Amino acid sequence: MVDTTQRQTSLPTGFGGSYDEYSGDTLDLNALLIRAPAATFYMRVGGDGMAETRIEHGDILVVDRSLTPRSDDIVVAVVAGEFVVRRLLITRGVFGLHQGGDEAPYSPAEGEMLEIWGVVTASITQHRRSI
Amino acid sequence: MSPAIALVDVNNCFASAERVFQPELAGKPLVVLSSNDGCAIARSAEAKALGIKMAAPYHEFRHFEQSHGLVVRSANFSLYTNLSERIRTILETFAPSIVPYSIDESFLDLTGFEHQGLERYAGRIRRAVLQQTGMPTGIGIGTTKTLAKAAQWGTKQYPATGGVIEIVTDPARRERFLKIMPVAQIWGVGRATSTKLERAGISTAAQLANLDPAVARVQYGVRMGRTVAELRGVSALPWEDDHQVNQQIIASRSLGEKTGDRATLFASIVHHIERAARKLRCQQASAQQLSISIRTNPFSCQDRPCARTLAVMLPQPTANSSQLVTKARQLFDEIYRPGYLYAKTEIILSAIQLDAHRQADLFTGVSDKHQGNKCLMGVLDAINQRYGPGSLTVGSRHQGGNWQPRAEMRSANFTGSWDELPVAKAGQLA
Repeated sequence: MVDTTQRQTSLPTGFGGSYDEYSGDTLDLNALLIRAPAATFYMRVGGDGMAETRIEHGDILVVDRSLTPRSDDIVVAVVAGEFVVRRLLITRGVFGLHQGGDEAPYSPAEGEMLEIWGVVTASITQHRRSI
Repeated sequence: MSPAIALVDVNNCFASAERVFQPELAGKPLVVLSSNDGCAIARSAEAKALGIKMAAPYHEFRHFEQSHGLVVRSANFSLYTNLSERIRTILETFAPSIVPYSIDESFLDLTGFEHQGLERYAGRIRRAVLQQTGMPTGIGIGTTKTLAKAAQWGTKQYPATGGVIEIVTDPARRERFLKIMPVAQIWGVGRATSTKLERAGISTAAQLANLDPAVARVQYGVRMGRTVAELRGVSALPWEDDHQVNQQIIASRSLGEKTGDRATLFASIVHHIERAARKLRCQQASAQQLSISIRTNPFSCQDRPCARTLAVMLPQPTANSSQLVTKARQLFDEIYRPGYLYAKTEIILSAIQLDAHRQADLFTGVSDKHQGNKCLMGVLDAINQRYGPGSLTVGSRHQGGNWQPRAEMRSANFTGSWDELPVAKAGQLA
């Protein structure tokens, strides 16, 4: 059950109830970024092709496999046996994988399946790697 | 209300786990090799179709790499364990009680879920596990554990079932199913017993189920009595054994390279002890007997044979690595003989008991020192979990050396190391 009075006074977190329970003294990034631990995996971004979406080379992607992909989601898909990170746009039932810029989107050929591996819920850029 | 027990089994578990993070392996024949890259411990459906058998030695099938594009991987247990734990977490959301049976099998109590439609409900479980972890499963449902396991066997034999067989609600269906199931495939029926049964004219599960359990017990032993009862729908195995704990823990491996070097051999023994003691501590148990052995390759004609084992009873049970290592040192000094090329080392911890059950020894007592050591060992486990096994070890562990098992074709630690995450390409497609 969610205590609505308390919810209204808290800052928007992007996530609901359960997050608040953890926010007493110490903030926990796991509680913020991970909704379904059993279905959440991490990947590393390779390449600058998604820079316009502010997803940089070397970023860590938080990938949630329990979510059903929707149009405009950032997703990890499998294309030709490789993982790619793209923005998914669904136009009139046709799935397209888009990069940030003017590049032509990738769509599977007629009758082919497009495998969406998971939905990217966050990307983490580390500005100073060695802690 | 009849009980409904489901067995969820991951199909080709290790091979499937490799594919989750290596999509390029989809559709290819894939074999996972045991540690030391010795033999097949998991095969994809395509590898099975090539006729590669379980436990087949690598050199017998490696020619398929050239001819059929066979891919092999060294066992990557940290990956398999990670996925296995995720699956368990998901299963817990589907049943009030679950009992993990092995790394790739769990029993679920689905009693009372009949109104949902057991088959449909199991289908939901399969889809959830597949979507969330990428791991395919087969689910058998029966009124006892043995029947659940039998039904699960069926899902592998008959792909048309869609990975779910339910033999709870329709007795006629259960009857038909047991009639086509060979007796050798029943859980708890070993090879020797199945030969004996077949000689007595019992070749199907249905025939075995028709035996009188009392007669079965007399003719084939206590375990068979239980198996027969279970096949008849009478539960004879405990759902969960509270005091279930390994009776013994064995840690052994072939050495990467044969060696006669004293320090190298002992280092491998220390490594075994650390692994085994960690396992003990995970179970909150202690062992009172330690056995160590070293031996040359018994199948080698060139090497002079030597196999020596020595065991000792400890004054009190322990799970403390450094106490065990000290004891092992004494044993090792006794059995080591120079001048041989040893191929394998092994340690066995036995006389294991749960710490909660232990009573203070009248004479030695459970000392404060023991408690302090528990704490130290906890720190050791935590550090090794965080920075990788072997980051911190008890004294005298040999660094380097060639005794580490070969695992040349192991995939990355995709789920356990920030430096080895799978890469998602952001750039142009090839």
